[in-house]
Amino acid sequence: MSTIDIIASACLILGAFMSLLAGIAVLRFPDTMSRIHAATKPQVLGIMLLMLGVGLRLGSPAVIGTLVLIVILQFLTAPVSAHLTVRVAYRNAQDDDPTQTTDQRAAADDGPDQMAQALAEETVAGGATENSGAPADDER
Amino acid sequence: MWTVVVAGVMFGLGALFAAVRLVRGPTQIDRAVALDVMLAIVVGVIVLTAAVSGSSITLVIAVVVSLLGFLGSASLAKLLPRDRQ
Repeated sequence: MSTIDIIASACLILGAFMSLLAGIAVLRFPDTMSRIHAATKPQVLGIMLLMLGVGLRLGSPAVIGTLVLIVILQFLTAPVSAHLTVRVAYRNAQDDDPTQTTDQRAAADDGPDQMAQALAEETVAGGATENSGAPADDER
Repeated sequence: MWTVVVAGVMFGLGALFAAVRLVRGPTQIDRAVALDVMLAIVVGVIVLTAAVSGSSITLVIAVVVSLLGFLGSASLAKLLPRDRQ
């Protein structure tokens, strides 16, 4: 067993260990945000280590091209999909908060004008009705 | 050869835990995240297969699966209804 084989095996096992860690974290972490935080680790670091291991073991130029393609694809898409998922989770957590009558943080995403409007609506309504139909909901 | 066994056991346990979260998950977003983790593990297993067999033909499947994972989670985030109380 040569040195390169040992390094490749170490990379493969570390990449698999990332997947194990993500599985444990997704099972054990208390809320959705921290689960998403842990779930993005094997998608970037784990895939990168696995590709490094396979590239060291096979080592032909065509294989390395495909591996680099997969890594670049993951680097581009993993943050985007995590961001989309987190945004939905964040807004749903906002809906669950019983102390807020207006979706203020989601309204703040749309800019200061909408936020001022939402605050004005809240003071007019006085919390008498469940005023969850903030302007941010309409765009969805 | 023991590399494959150790890595395979780790992949299997990770996928098992993610599947438990997939069944149990209180919100739909938790299930989407668990599915994302399972797809990353599938990509890892495909790549490990290529490393073991020494043939690079399965790597194309890994490209397709990683693209599918992005499409799946992005469209789930876009299309899931907001759960209201």
